[in-house]
Amino acid sequence: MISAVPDELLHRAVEFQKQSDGADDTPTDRVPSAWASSLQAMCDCLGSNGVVGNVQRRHQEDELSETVDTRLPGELVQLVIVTRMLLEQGLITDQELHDRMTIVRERFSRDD
Amino acid sequence: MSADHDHDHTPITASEEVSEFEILEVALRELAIERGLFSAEDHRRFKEWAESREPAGGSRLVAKAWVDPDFKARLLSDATAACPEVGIDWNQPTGEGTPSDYTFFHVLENTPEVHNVIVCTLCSCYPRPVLGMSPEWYRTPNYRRRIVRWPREVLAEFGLSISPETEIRVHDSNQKSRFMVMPMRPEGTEGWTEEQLAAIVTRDTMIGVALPDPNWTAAAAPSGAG
Repeated sequence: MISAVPDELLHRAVEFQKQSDGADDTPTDRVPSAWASSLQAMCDCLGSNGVVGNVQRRHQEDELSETVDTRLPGELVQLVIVTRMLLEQGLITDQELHDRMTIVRERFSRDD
Repeated sequence: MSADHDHDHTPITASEEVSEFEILEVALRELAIERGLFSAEDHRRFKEWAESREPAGGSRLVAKAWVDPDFKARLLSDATAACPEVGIDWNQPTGEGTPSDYTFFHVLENTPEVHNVIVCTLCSCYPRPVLGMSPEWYRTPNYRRRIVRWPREVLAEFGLSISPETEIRVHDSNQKSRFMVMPMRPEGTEGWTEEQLAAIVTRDTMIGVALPDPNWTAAAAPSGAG
């Protein structure tokens, strides 16, 4: 299943990775994301409640990494997969996610 | 922030610091909470749990291995299975481990011939159940890029000089495997208890950027010229 929101972001990350190719033969200057620990906790919650099993999710992360780009940050792959899994279960919809992202984006960019 | 926070730096604007992935993480979490999949309090508690893991777990593993050859053999052959003997369960907190930590845990033994050091060149994989959250410098591009290319140079920057006769092995963690270094027991610790030994097995010695010192514990305040 292709879900618009997470897969659009994944596509952009892959394109960014491609643009970085050739600049160096070592891993990119990637600073681990500040939101990673929050994502970890979200996956802990979903795993402990049986909504999204950790083992199943990890397997899907592996498949995605191997088919798209093994150099993508782990937390990015994890975020894409857990989003997809909630969408596939019908627990949220793509439109709801899109709308909520708009609200969050506006909230976070407010400077007054 | 207090009203008299009047540093002369330019305040950052929120939008500069927020990526679309962070926006997605927040949006997804808020929707999940609204659907009753978990509560904000649950989320905070799991986050606090993960961030409360400490290097003391790894210290206990090393100290026990130093005094118990049978345990050391078990630790080196199957570290994940040996961990419960010092109260560490890699299956916590969900019964299937942490979200990103697979339960393949390997302990690397330092010897007079080989010095081990760990890194994650891809992102920031780290053996959190035994060492807690990774230090800031471990996550920097500077460390991750350079330790694999110039390990002696980088270790020297930590104040650690490794003999040219000693091989340095850099172990790159990944999503599936986690590593931890078991340093050599230093001279002058004969007859010490496990508790005494654990105190000198600091976080950095288990990453491989330092060696245990009988006169140094992480709890002690540095004394400058000492």
